[in-house]
Amino acid sequence: MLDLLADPWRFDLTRRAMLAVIAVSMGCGVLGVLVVWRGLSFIGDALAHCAVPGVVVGFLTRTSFEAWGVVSALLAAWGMALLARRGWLGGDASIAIVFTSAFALGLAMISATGSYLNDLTEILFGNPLAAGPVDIALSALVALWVVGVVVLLYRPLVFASFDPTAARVAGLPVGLLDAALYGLIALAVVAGVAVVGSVLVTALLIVPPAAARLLARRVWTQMAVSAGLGGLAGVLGLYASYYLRLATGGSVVLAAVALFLAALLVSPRGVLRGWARRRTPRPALAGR
Amino acid sequence: MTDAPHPAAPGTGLVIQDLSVAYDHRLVLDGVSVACAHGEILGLLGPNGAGKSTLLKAIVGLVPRAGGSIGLDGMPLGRGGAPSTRLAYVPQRHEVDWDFPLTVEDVVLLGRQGRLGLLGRPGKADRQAAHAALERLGMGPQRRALIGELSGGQQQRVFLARALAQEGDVLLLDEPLTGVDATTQAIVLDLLADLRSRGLATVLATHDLAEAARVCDRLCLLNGRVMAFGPPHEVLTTDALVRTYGSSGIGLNRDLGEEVTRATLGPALPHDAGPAGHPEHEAAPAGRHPHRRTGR
Ligand SMILES: Nc1ncnc2c1ncn2[C@@H]1O[C@H](COP(=O)(O)OP(=O)(O)OP(=O)(O)O)[C@@H](O)[C@H]1O
Ligand SMILES: [Mg+2]
Repeated sequence: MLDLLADPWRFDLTRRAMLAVIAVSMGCGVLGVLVVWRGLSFIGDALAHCAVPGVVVGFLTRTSFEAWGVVSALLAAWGMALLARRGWLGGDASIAIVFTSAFALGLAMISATGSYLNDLTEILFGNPLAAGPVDIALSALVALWVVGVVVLLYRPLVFASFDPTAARVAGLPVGLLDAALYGLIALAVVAGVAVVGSVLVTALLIVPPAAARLLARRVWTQMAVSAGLGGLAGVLGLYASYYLRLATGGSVVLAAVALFLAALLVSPRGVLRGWARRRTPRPALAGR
Repeated sequence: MTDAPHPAAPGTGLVIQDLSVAYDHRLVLDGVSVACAHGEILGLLGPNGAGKSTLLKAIVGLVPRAGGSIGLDGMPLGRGGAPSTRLAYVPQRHEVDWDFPLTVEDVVLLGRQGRLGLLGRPGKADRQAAHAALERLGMGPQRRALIGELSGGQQQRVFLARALAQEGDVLLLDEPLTGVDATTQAIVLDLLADLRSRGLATVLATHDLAEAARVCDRLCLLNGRVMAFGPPHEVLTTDALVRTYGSSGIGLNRDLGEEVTRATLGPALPHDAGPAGHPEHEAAPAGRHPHRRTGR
C-alpha cells in the first residue's frame, strides 16, 4: 500500500507533475473563492481562451509561450475589468466580449500563418507530465504569488468584492484592487492551463470553492478549505492518472468533482442532513 | 450676536457651496448651498427624485460635481483635501450580495479598513470599535451571524454600525428610518442624539417630515434646488412646502402642525451636551430661537 502511494514520487517526472498540480490547484482554490463570490465563474474559461493569441505568438517566435500566454491573458483580464468597472457593461458581457474577440484573434493568427499546431492538444488538455523543471518552478512561483497577494490584501479585496461603493467611499483604490484580482486570475489561469489544459482550467477555479462553500461559513475558512480540497484533488487525480492511465487534466478535475459531491453529502445543508431532518419532527416556530 | 439662523462659520463642519450635479448632462442639483456644523443634525427633505441621495453621493465623491465646492472644516473635500475617512456614509439601498459569506462582525470591521489602508490589519482598538458599534445598535448578540441570516431591518443596523465603527466626524445617512420597525427607529434616533452631543455633524435624508422636524436642528427642503434652509419652524411653511412638493405640499404643514409646534417649543433631543459644553437645558421661551447654540 505504501509502495503504491510512494511509487509516483520516485520519478523526477511524476514528482514534478505532482508538485506543480498541487501548487496550482491550491492557488486556484484560494483565488476561486473570490472568483465565485464575485460572480465571475466563467472568467477562467474565458481567460484560458484569451491566452491563445499569446501562445500562438510564442509558437511563431519560438519563444516561451507561457510568457506570451500570460501577457495576453493579463491584457484581456484588465480589459474585462475596465469594461465592467466603467459601468459600460455587466461583468458577464465584458467577459464574453473580450474572450470571444481574443479567441477569434488567436484562431485568425493560427490560420493566417498556416502552421498547424501539433501541440494544440497540449494547450487544450494540458500535460503536467511534459512539465520541465522550469515550468514547475514557474507554476509553484505563480501559485505562491497568488496566495501571497490574496493573504496580504485579504480585507481590501473582500471589501471591494462585497461592497465596492463603500470601499470606494472609505478611500480604498477599488480600481487598483480589481486590476490586482483580475491579474491574479489571469496568472492562475495560465498556470492552470499548463496543468489541466484550457478546457478544464475553470474547474480548478470553481469546483473546490463550490465544495468549500458547502463546508465553511466565512470567506477565509472557505479559502482554507478550498485550498485543501484543491490540493487533495490534485493528488488524487494524479494517482488516478498514474495507475489508471487517464489524461491528467481529466482525472484531476474528476477528483475535484468527486470531492464536491462528497461535500454535497456531508455539508450542514447537505443531502444527508436534509434526509435526517425530514425524519425528525419539525421544530416549533422560533420565538423572538 | 443675532438670532438669525447662523450659516455655519467658515471652517466649521460641512459646508456646501453652489453645488451642481448632472447625470448625463441633465442637471439634477443646481446651485445647492447648505451647511451642517459639528454637533448638528441637518435634515434633507424633498419628493422622490429631488436629489437627496445625489447630494449625499456628491459629498462622498460617488458622483462627480458639475460645479461648486464642498468643504470640511475649511478644507476642500476631494483629491488632496480632507481625508475621506472622516465621512461615514450609509446609502439608501445596499447593493450587495447578501449571500456573501461574511459575519456581522466581519462587515462592521470593514468600516475600519479605510483608516487601516491597503495593508493594515485590524488590531485591538479596531475590534473594540466594531464591538462598541454593534452593541450600540443592539446587534451584539447576532455578531457571529452571517449577514444573509438577518432581517432587513437588522441588515440596515449592521450597515449603520459599520459607519459608526469608522469613527468619522461627519455622518451621512440616506433614509435610515425607512422600512424599519419602531425599535430600530428608536435605536437610531437615540444614536443620533448621542452622536450630536459628541459633536458629529449628521446629514439625514428622510421622507418623514414630522420626525425630521423633531430631530433636526436645521432642515433643507430640496427639489433640484434648495427651496428652503433653516431651522424647522422657519422652513416648514406652506409656501416653502408647496414650492418643494407642488400642490400636495399644501396640507403638509397643517398635518405637521402639532409636531412643528413641539419642535418650536422644545426639541425632543437634548441640546445641553453640545460640543460647546453648554450646560443649562433650554426651556425655550416662546419667541426665542430654540436651536440657537450659544457659546460658539
Ligand atoms: N445613476 C443615475 N443616472 C442618471 N440619473 C440618475 C441617477 N441617479 C439618480 N438619477 C436622477 O437624479 C434625480 C435625483 O435622484 P436621487 O436619487 O438623488 O433622488 P432622491 O431625492 O434621493 O429620491 P428618493 O426620495 O426617491 O430617494 C432623479 O431624477 C433621478 O432620476
Ligand atoms: Mg434617495
